[in-house]
Amino acid sequence: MSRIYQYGIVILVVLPVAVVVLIRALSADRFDHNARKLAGSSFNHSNIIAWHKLDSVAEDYLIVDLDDRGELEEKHPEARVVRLPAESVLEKPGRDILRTHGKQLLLYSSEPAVSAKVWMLLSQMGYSNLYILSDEADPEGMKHKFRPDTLQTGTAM
Amino acid sequence: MNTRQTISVILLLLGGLLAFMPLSGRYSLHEKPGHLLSEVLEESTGFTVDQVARFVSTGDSTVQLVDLRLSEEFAKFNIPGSVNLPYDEFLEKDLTPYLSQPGKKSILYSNGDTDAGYALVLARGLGYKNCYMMQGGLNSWFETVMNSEFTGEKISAKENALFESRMKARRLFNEVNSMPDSLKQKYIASKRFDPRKLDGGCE
Repeated sequence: MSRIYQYGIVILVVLPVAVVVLIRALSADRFDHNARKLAGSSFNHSNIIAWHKLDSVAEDYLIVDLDDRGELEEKHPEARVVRLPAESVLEKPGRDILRTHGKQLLLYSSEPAVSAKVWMLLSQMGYSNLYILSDEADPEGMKHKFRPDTLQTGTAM
Repeated sequence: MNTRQTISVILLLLGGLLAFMPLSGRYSLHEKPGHLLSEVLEESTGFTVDQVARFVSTGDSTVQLVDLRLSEEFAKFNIPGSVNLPYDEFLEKDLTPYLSQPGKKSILYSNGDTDAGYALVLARGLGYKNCYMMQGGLNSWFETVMNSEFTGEKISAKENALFESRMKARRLFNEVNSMPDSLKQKYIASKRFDPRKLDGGCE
C-alpha cells in the first residue's frame, strides 16, 4: 500500500512536469533557436524573387497576398494567389495555408516593409520554402547618385 | 535520504528546469510571435523621411540613426549622425551599443525598406524595444529631401516649415558627406545639442 502511495506521489509530480515539457517543445507558437541560420537567405537576398522572374520559378508556387485588397488578382489574373492579410498570418486559416502547402510560398505586399517583416517573422518560427515576391528586381538597390561637393572647404566647422 | 530518493529529486529538478526555463538562446527571438507581429506592423514603428530630416536638422540627441548598409556604401555617404551596423553582421555583434543607448530611439535604415524591415523584426524580437525604421530608406531620403523642390506660387506656413527642414537636412547631408572622413565625425559631435543643457537658460 505504501509502495502504491509512493508511486502515486511520483506520478502526480512527474506527469505534470512531463506534460509541460512536451507542450513547450511541440508548441508551434514560438520561435526556433538559431536566428542567424533561419535569417540566412535574407543576408544575400536569395529569398527575393522579382515578378519578371516568376516564370523561371518552379511551377509549384502560391502567392500569398498580404494586402488583402484584391488588386493583385485583378492585375495578374493568371497567377495563383491566396489572400491572407499580414495581421492574420498567424491565425488558424493562415497557419493551415503555411503548414500544409508543399509548394513555394511567395509573400507579396505593395509595401516591401510588410513582406520583409512577415517573411522574417515566419522564417524565425521555422517555416521554410518562403520567398518574397518583389515588384522590383533589386529592392535594396540605390537608385540615386550622390556627388560630393568637392568645392566645400572646412567652413562647416 | 537514500540513493533512489536523491536520484528522484535530481531528476525532478532537471524536469522542472526543462519545463520552465526559457527556450531561447542568445540569438533566438524571445517574444511571442503573435505579439511581435502586431508590434512590427504598427505604423508607430516607422518614422517618415521628413521626421528623420527634422531630427537631423535639429541635431536631436534622443535619436540614433543606424545605417544597415555595407561599410563601403556607408563610407561613400550616409545620413549625418549615423552609425554603421551592416545588416549581414546583425546577428554576429553585440547589438546593445547600437540599439539600446539609454534615452535614445534607434532608427534603422537601408537603401529600401527590405533590410530595415528584417532588422526591425530581429531587433524587437531580441528585446530591443526602442527600435524603429525610416520608411522608404535612403531612396526615399533622396527623393524627398535631396531632390525636393517647391514649384507652387504660394506656400503655407506648414509647407514652408517642411521645406525649411528639408533644406537644412539637405545642406547638412551635402556638407558632411563632402568632407574628408577625418573631419566628418568631429563635425557631428560639435553640432549635436543636448536638450538637457537648455534647462535653466543660457550658460
